[in-house]
Amino acid sequence: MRLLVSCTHNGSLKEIVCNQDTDTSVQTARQPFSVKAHMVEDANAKISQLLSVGGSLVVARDNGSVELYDCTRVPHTVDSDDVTTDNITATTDKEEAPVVLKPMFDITEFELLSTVSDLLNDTRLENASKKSSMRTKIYDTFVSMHQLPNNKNVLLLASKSGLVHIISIKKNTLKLIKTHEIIAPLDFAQIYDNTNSKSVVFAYGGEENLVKLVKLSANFKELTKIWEAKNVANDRLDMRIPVWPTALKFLNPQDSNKIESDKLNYQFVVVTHWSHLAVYQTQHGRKPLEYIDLLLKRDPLACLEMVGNEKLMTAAGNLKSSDVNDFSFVTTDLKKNVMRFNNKGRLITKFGKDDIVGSAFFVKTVKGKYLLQGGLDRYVRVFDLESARRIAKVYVTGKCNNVLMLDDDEVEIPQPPGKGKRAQKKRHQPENETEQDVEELWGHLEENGSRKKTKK
Amino acid sequence: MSDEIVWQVINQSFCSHRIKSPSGQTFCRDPYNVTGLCTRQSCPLANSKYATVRSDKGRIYLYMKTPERAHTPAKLWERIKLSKNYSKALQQIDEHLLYWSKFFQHKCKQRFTKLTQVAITERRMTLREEERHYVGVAPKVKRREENRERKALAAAKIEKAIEKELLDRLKSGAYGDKPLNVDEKIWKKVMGKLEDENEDEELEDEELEEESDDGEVEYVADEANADYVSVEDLQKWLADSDAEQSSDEESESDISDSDSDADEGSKKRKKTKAPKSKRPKVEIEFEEEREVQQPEQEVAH
Amino acid sequence: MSGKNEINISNKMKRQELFADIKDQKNKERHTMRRQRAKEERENPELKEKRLKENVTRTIDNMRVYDETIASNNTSGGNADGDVDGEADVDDQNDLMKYFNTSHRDHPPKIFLTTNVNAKKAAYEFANVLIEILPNVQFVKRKFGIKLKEIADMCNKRNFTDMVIINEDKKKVTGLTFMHLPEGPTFYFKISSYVEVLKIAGHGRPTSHIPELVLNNFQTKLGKTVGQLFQSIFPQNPDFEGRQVITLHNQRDYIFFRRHRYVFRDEEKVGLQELGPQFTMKLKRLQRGLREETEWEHTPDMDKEKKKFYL
Repeated sequence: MRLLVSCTHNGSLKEIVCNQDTDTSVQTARQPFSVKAHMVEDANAKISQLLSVGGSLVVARDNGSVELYDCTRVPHTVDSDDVTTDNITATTDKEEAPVVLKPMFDITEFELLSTVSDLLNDTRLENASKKSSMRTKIYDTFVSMHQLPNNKNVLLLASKSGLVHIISIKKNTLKLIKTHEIIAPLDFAQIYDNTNSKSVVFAYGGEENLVKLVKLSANFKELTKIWEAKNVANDRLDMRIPVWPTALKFLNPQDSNKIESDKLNYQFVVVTHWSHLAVYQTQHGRKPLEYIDLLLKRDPLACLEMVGNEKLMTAAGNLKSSDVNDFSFVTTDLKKNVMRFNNKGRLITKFGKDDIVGSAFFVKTVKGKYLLQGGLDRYVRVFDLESARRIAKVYVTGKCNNVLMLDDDEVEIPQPPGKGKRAQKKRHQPENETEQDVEELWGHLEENGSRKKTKK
Repeated sequence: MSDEIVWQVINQSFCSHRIKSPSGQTFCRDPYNVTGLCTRQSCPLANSKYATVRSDKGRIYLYMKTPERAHTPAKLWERIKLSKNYSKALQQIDEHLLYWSKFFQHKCKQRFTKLTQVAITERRMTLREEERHYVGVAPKVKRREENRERKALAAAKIEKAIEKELLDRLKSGAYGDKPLNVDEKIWKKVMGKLEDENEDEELEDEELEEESDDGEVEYVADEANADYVSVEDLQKWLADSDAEQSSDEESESDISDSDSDADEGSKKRKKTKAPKSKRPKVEIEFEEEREVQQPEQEVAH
Repeated sequence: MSGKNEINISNKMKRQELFADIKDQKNKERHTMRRQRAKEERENPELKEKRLKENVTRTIDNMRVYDETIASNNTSGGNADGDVDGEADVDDQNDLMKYFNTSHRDHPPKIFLTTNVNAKKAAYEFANVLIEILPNVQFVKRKFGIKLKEIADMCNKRNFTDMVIINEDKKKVTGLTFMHLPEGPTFYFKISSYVEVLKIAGHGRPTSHIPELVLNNFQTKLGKTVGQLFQSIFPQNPDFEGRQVITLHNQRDYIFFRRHRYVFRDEEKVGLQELGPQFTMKLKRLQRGLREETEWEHTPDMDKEKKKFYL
């Protein structure tokens, strides 16, 4: 498989080519074929969003620039002293004569085509960081980047400071069409792409910023708020429940007969910083249909990914199902857990339970099959979504905040000729030995037994 | 059943709500009890006309039961939601318990006051930031950590490691050309060695060292730092250290190089234990000397 | 077992005699062998070197579980190829520099020291010790009701570079929190086996000179981060004439704090006198920012494997 990993410490993008069962933390396990850093800059220009558009790659950096790269695959030229050969000999047979085995694979080369810069604004966040219950200073970053569902060549970028940029890609150049301002701070901006329509609807929210649905007109000129959530009722002590939605995913609209046509029809799932799971139906009202405590002590939750097979997922990660009573999702907390819950808030599995040590900054489901995870512990992991088995684990030297899976093809490892026989022989020998051993052992046992009998 | 009979049973034989404290006082655990005491007056079972105050999901209610509803246990208790306003709630209690005994009027108000106070405290506690992060530690884990620490300390050989590091610094020239912390004679020896062994490779060596121990700090003397010590001081200090050195040498000759047992030379192991115990004493003497001289130096500054 | 099989004498006296003889013989053999070896090695020191090189005791430390985050400049043909390795070094620096801008000397450390709320005497005593050790430190008594974020904001305004919080529990100092200002990270260490100065036999009296710093054995990425923390807390320009040295020695994830005065006796010998205090720290938690996302947390099941170390 081929992964693109953004590392926060130097703003680089690392391309990892590896097979299943790769594990860099064990010396004898399979190692990745190549880990190559591209586009190295500095820590202030770390990559926060990645999106692959056709044959090119769009990258949003924290210094406020969005870059378009052209990707070309180049066959990997193996140097004579490259480790990849070492690795293979190590994994297969160490005594083997140094037959140079070169697994054939491509690496990607990136060519910068176009840049748009100055898209972030830290000053808009000063107020928010003063109010924030957690952070001392909030830096502006891109919280989301989506392709519009009806026009794949137009991107919608949202920043933490509440700037919504609409950028078009035409003839390998990026062009800023329009910038809208919405209420800061944002933790997410999730686009609705379950159904096709002319106008674009997306939802946003953040710390002390309730979930809102906004509509973008077809010519991108106007941004209108169409719906706003309402906070839930006060708790048992008559205290206000703090608001901090951290991630949102849409479901398909309700399709029963009871739909009131004068009301909007959207369904979505939210997780909050105070470890709530909220299910909203705009038909039901502005308050959530369900509001469930997922964890004890209101431990914060960060990410939300819906679980479903490939057909049920949209490009933006929404679920193409209208049943609010049957879905499951993956979420992360700020400690080290990556958990899968069902819609009732029951924990189904934990991913990488004894393995992950740092907070998972990023999780993403791919093709309904894989779960990509990266975070503060400087590893990128790939899990099997259903069984929670770890497929690959690669050390990337820096903290990672975004991962993109380009493909999941295995790289073929050429088998050295005549190796199979040897292995067979080797396997055979110990068997002989054991047989002899067994006979001896039996002999001993019989002797002992007879002795004991005589003693008795 | 008349109240009196119920009370007879409860008082004289058994009540599952009753608890006796060691001091002889009896308490009641019935949730409807208005005082918490086990008495004839405040027993919710033995009184068919009863009033109490309870909180349910954050709201406080006044509960009342009368003999007229005694035949329908499901509807036995009539409850009235009390206002969030404290004085209004007290008025409400007054109104509803207008023709009740003074006991219930008083006790219900008392209980209501207590419950509001509890709610206030609870609210304050949730608002307070939990700075500490409590983690339970099993005794087994605690013991294991203690043992591992002890073994790690034994394996660390800290003093040896420090000595080695200091010597490395000295030899790599980290203390500059005119080190203030080394006696001149020793420095000359070190310099001589440096020149002998690696005349030109000195620089390279330093680089290598830096590469080999990444986590370590190398301090290079500041030029400003060198200026900081005036020439007078230097001379004085050198003289002092000379004196120290000589006294040191004397002491060393006295106890016949016992201090070198910290060195790796295994031959010295044979030495008797007596000089070992003397060793720290020697150092104390020389430190005290230093202490005495310290103020003088500072005056000179 | 084998001895029993060889000697099958039922008389205890005889058997013991025989055993003693055998043992004596073995001892003699061993001694002659050693003597001979010593002699040979005296003539030919290379032999000794060779023997020492081959005969390395297997300790928990050198059987340590492979950790790829240790900069592998001595492993040949290991996991990472040359160019990746070099890049990793650069990576390291970048990563750490972001946290601690220790490189510029115009920003000397300025430390804000406080205790937990409701601290008892032990905490204040420990604070006194820390005031002596740490440079440019200001102790402030903790007031009830001020949140940590507010304290951090206040410290930021007054240009403090670090915040240290002493954690006292049941009249014992149990932990130390280091917060690098303004943006973290936050370290929490468990403190154990604290020995005060007066309890150390033959302790000396420290002088006001700025000590040197020795950081030993911080190897992994996490270890280096911890090393950087201490490096940034202690000043960069020690007074060498003080001949004082503070050591933070990491062994098996336990960090031993020691303070010594040294003297170079000759070019091979160093005299050390302990100044005290002694204590041991163990990293329990590393968080990004001021207590935000956990970057690393020690859990008891990490101790299951004896040979796995994280620093």
